[in-house]
Amino acid sequence: MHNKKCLTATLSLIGLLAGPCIAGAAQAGTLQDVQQRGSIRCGVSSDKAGFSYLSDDGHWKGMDVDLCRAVAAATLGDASKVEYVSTSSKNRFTAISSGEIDILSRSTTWTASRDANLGADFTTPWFYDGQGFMTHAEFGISKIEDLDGATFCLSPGTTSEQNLADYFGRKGLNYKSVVIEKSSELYSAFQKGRCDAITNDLTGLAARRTLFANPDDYTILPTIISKEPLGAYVSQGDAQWRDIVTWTAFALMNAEELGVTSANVDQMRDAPVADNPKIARLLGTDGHIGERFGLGNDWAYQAIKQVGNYGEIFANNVGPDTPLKFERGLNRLWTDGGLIYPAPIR
Amino acid sequence: MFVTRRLQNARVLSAVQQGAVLLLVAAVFYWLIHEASVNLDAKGIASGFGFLTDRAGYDITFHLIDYTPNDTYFRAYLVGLLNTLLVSLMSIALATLLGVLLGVCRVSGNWLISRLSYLLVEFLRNVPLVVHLIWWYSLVLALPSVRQAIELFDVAFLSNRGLTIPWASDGSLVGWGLLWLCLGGLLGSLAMGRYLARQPWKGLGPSRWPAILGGAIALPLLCYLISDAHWEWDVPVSHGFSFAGGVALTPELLALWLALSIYSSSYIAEIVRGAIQSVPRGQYEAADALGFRPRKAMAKLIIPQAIYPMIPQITSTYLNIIKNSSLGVVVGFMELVSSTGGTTLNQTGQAIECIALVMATYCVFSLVTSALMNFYNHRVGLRTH
Repeated sequence: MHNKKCLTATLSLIGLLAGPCIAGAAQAGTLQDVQQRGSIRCGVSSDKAGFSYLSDDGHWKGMDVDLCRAVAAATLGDASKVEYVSTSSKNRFTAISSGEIDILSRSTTWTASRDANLGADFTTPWFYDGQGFMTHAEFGISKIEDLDGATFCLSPGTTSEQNLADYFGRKGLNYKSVVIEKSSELYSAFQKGRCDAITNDLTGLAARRTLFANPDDYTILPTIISKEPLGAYVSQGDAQWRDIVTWTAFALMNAEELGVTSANVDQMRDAPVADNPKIARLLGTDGHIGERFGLGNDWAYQAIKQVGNYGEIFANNVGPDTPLKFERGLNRLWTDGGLIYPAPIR
Repeated sequence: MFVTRRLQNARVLSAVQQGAVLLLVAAVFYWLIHEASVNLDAKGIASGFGFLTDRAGYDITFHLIDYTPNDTYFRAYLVGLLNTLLVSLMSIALATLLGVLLGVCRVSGNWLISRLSYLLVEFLRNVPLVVHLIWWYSLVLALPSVRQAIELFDVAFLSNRGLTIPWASDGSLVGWGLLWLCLGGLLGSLAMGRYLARQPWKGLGPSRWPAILGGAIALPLLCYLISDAHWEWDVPVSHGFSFAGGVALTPELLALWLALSIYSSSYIAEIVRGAIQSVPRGQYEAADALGFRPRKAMAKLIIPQAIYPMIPQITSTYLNIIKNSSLGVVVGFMELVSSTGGTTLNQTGQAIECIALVMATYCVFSLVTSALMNFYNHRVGLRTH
């Protein structure tokens, strides 16, 4: 009797262990999964103002969030069909490579080692950033060299952690580090004076500073020490899904370039094809590009209509009229001398 | 004959059943591993432990052995492992001290002392460990900044960068001095061991404490004096952003140490109380009848008898301390889970290998602790002959 109970217990334990693996093994393409589920699971950072955060009225907002909303509009016809999953800098790649989320849209830098090692594929840069430094204003520090011997607050598993080691090592400067996973804890440790400086993507620092009680007590140094092309990752080995996310981003950038906004997109779509064939191809009134991606022909129309073009997304979330007051800088269109150079839709 | 055959049948049957279950378990594990490696291959993630020899490229501020970002992931693993060991040992020592004190106070005849200790124990063990940890961390960070650090006797500094204390300057202790000290300690404890082994366990007779303390302190000192080692203190001084010289117990280490020790001491206190109360009343009465004063009876008769039932439970508390030290990740103390299970995992993407390494290490720590405690248990066990 006792033995039998033991046997049953052992077998159920094995079942418990094996169950999720079997479920995980049966994986179709992400697009089919998303369409079947009726929603997109989007991995975000949850507390980065202007990029992905919960607003006071309980809605997800930000540039990274808008990319997921645009993909939901393009694939499901409804920008609100997104389930947001909070990820940390540490667990984000495990989440995307295991298929727990469909898109990792969390201001993540595109690097060779991540593309090669981590079981994830990068789509396209969504925001060009660089690594900067913030210190306590009372120190009166004006350049990075003054931070020799300082203690830095760092997020684990970020490019900032490695860039800092490289940069300080090369310059022969010393530093100490405090590595805390949860960014709210990290910034609070910095404010309490545990660290002399904090280093991260420049926009991340600026976004955080707006949330501090006394933003003027902290200075952001003018120097940046790295290139940080930020954008979305998808799980490795699903070319169709990667195309969809990449081209949704390009569609929004092309829309800005062609002057298509959420306000005038209906009017543009109703205009005769011959008036502007580029716009007609983008909005799906000419050609079958959407269908070739496995979507409706109105994929880009839905994304622009419901979320806005790249310029609108930038202005709504981080632009001069928001608390962050970012200039477009590197993120201007190539036609204005910036780096936003979307591949053509044709 | 019939009975033997039935018995044999039952045995055969049971062997077959157990064999089948074992095979099934092995098959499932094989399948899991196979499936994982196929999936990893498909995602282009290399498996294996080859990454351990690559350059780590990230910094660990608190290290017991030399470490720079140019060292390998394996070195980073060792640094994390030693940090885990350090904080565990420090916490085990402090928790035992506080726990025994609280536990003895709990059974004290003094109403006020026993009530106060009761309240303290209940309060400490009913607050989750993470809350203890965050509380201590916030408290340390609320200390004054480096420039306004609290000076302790002009040699140590307490600030929001932790406790900076004087330490032997480079080369003096770490070289010959440490070796001689260790040798002295070893000789001292060996001598004490032999001396104690000759003593029958009876709890009476002359106190052994002077002998033990003498062996542990005098012998290393003697060794140190006859050696050519020299000891120079490196006293910290305020310099730039922090202190130069000395050794800093970082806020993360301090918070983790205090939280782990104080939280676990409440469990040890309860174990000590339970064990003391499990000694039969008759023993108290016997001590009384023999004319022992209560304090002497406690020290000579009751506590020695209470040690035996304490050991298994204290062992599991020690194991919990070791495992709970992984909460260092919350405040950013770079122990095993933060280094190998955190940044290394993240940079290399070798999730399965890193987690397996961390799990195996904890397993070894726990088994070694259990073995040591079992050995001690065997030594102090009541001799019935």
